[in-house]
Amino acid sequence: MVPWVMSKGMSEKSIFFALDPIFHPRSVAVLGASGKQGKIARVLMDRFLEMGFPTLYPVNPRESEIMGLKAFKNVVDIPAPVDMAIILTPTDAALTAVKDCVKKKVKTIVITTSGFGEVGERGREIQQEMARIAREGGARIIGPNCVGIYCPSSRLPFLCQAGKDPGTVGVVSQSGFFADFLTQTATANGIKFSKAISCGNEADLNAVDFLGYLGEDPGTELIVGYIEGIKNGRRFYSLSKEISKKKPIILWKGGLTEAGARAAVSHTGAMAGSRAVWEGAQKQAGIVTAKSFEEVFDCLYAFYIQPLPRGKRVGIISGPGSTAVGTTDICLELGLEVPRFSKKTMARLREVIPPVGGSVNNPIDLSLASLVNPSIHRDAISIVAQDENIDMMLLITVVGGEQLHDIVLEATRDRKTKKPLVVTLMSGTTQSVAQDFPLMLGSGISVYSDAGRAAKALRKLWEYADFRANWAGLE
Amino acid sequence: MDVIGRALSEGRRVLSEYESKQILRAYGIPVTRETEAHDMKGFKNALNEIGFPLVIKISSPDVSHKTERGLVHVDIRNRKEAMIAFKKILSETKAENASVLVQEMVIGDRELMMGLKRDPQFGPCVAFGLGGIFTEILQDICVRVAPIEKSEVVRMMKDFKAHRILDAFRGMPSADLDQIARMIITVGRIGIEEPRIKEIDINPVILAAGKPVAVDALVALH
Repeated sequence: MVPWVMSKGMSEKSIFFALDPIFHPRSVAVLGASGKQGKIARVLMDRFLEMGFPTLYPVNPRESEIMGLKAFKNVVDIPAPVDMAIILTPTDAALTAVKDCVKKKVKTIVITTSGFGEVGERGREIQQEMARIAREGGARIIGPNCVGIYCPSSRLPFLCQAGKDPGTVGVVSQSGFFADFLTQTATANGIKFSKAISCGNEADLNAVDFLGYLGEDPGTELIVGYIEGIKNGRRFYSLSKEISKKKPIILWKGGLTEAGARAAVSHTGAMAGSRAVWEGAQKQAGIVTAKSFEEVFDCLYAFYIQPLPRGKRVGIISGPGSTAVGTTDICLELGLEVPRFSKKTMARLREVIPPVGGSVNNPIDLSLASLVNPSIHRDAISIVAQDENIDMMLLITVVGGEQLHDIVLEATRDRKTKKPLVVTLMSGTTQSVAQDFPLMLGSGISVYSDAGRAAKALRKLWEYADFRANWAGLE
Repeated sequence: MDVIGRALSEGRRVLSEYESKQILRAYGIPVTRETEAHDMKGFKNALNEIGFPLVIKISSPDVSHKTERGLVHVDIRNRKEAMIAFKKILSETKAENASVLVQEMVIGDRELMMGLKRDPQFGPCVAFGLGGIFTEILQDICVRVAPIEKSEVVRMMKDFKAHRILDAFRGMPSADLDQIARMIITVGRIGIEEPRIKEIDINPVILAAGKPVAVDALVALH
């Protein structure tokens, strides 16, 4: 709608330099700040203080002090430069707040306040007016109706308790909840983020602008996104394809089933609706697709931790025999292979797995011995990891807790060739599994509560690895 | 004037099968050998030119559901059958001087489809998949954004459920994948180079001893 900086001919590299200052404000003003419990503005103030952001100016016409900080009646009263303003005022005060920010020469205006384009035509007009005023004043707008920007290296917080330490995962989302919930939940499981952007109604900057930014950002190695609608599919497509050649994009595209049935002359026009086109474009661009929150996390925990596989041949190591067989079926249905081990591997496995009840072929059935002597998990992983016919491994176990944690870390410590290993935890009650998750993930073990999900994660790793290998061969 | 320009000047938004294939042929897509006849003399010449067995269809941009209305006669093996088919088509259409299309009979058991559409967000996109009479029921197609890279078309040809129809089976040779790949890429190229074209349907593409041939085609204009 307002493509005034992202104009044609501008490279994504220059977009990086245009947008990077947004993530490094030296001072922030909170318009509509409050110290009252139960207010969003209070929660945000808490987060800023927890993060230890250096220069924070609360703005509220009715307060002189908020949470120990001097409060200003208006943003223009602040006696020092303000790089970023966050607007949390009531809806009808937001336009005036934007005008004040422009007067103050604020560079980045985050509008958290909602009630604009998402509610109707009048709201859309107001947010366009905001974008116009900002444009004339040389400011950028994020939002309205968004959670804004999270950047731990600059101590910029989100509303939820996302971590304080910077990491390598970048998030771009058209849903505030997605960005907030993802960063909070994944933080609890040891994942660290470079930046997260919730772009709301996109009156000015949009999700594709920030996707381009994260693609160029040297601090971001993995991108996670939630997108519902975009204005320029072609730009999104070519940008994503270039980024995917360097770093994975895990994307949940909402609204795929939206009826694309318009008046089409040909059968092609009727069949190739928006869903088919989106699916094709995502594959072509090498995007790692997820269709639920659960799948987003499953992919994140695989791509954040695991190396990319060289092929699609899976070695399955299972305590329970039935699950070994069922999981083999799942792997084959997903287009993966579960080949025979080499003779050498089988001979070595025979030395550690008791002959009664067990199987040294792929899938390996460790049988009851895995409960009596859990260390055979470790031996099996080490042996299978060295098999030339195996590209990645799937471990299914009823052992959990510290014991499994130690076994997996020992088995993977001195592996010469790095191969992906995903772990399915079937230990005891769901409660104990829930406790095991942060323990494993925090130590770099990709863990899943179901073998089907673990297998799917491997499939996603291989699919992306295949895309990368395909392009690496051409360029 | 070119085929598209003429159609537009006549206020037409859909090209006839014959016109559609002229465009495809000009881009190097293999199409059936065929000729259009406007009278009895032309019809007889057409029979000689194409040779038996052949297919006779009504040729008109305005007639849809040709098969359902008995306006397509396949596997015509001699002059007598040809004359009967010709008269049936004329009586069915009740037109004084309807044109007919005389077309080589392509023999093959495997039918594919490919097509072009313009997506409001992604621009020209190519669809490829299972063709023939089950196309709409099974909807077994995959889509890619044009232009399609050579490496991507290889992945695309494995991306519909029935993709093993391209392999050798039941005594049939494997499909000429290079030629199919070229055709898919070309359909995308048409979408990029010819903005006057809105949509294309090529269905069926029949595999004749593994070689793909566009047997029916429809080009829609803006």
